Amino acid sequence: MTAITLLEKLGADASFDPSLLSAQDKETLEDIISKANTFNAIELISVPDEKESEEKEPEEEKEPEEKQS
Amino acid sequence: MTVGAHIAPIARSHIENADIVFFAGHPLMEMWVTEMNSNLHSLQVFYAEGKDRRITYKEMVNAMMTEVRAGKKVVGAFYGHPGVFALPPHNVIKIAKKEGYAAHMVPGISAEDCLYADLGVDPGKVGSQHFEASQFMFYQRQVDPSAYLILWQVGIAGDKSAAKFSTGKAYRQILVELLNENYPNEHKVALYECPTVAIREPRIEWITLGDFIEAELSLITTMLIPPSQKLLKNQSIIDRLALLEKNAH
Repeated sequence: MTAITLLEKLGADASFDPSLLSAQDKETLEDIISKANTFNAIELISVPDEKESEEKEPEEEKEPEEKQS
Repeated sequence: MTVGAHIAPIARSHIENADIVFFAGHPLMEMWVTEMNSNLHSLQVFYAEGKDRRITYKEMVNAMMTEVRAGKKVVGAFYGHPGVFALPPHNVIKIAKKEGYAAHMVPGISAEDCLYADLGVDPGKVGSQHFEASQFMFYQRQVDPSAYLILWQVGIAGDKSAAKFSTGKAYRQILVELLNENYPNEHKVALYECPTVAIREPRIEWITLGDFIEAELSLITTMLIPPSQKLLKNQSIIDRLALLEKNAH
């Protein structure tokens, strides 16, 4: 079983007891976890000026037409 | 979110059956998703410290749309819930639909969901407010101190540049002062991080609001602020409702 398969099983199988992992498996897991780089989870932006904000929805891009008097 | 645990069967099926998968998340999750579909392209490559994330997000959307326009079945897999505090998934779906392609979002398990489970918090008990930390600082928001307040992305609180990977103590000091309008420095708050793998525990660190300035934060840290005030009855509404019931009999 690969390290990632082990991790998947640990997360998905409630009957899989982590204490039953062999010393080698534990070492493999710790190795893969320690080697994993950090990652960027920031997927949202807030800026102080609304005009600087992210691209607007297509429907919002069009300025509302002036009413004819 | 946790490898192996937090994926819906339908999301997995979409990933397995895609022509190409774009992924934004933890490297271990990326390895996990690669087992489902080997044609995986990481969206993490578009991030860079000092680079405006508006550019990053446009590049993510462009990468996905290029494959969509090429006629491929494309899946964008994102950390947590793809529609919760996540801009690119919403944008790419809007653009794809505007161009006439079929596109939809499949819900996932967000940090919020894990927080409720790990901290034993029910948002329905007294209500819950969620703000992106920087937005909370930039705009005048009405806080209800009798409800839970949950601040997301506190690690980059106050970043006007949209290009930082962290902001410092001076930024947090301002956030704490803003929160002091409703919460004293002694008020207990929780710093929360969902574990990436099942053999790790979640980060649940209860500290005082004042200590938040010195706290160690990451890009996945969420702050839970419990109520500082009790619910106040709206007696006039209660009286009007009682009158309705009385008149019904």
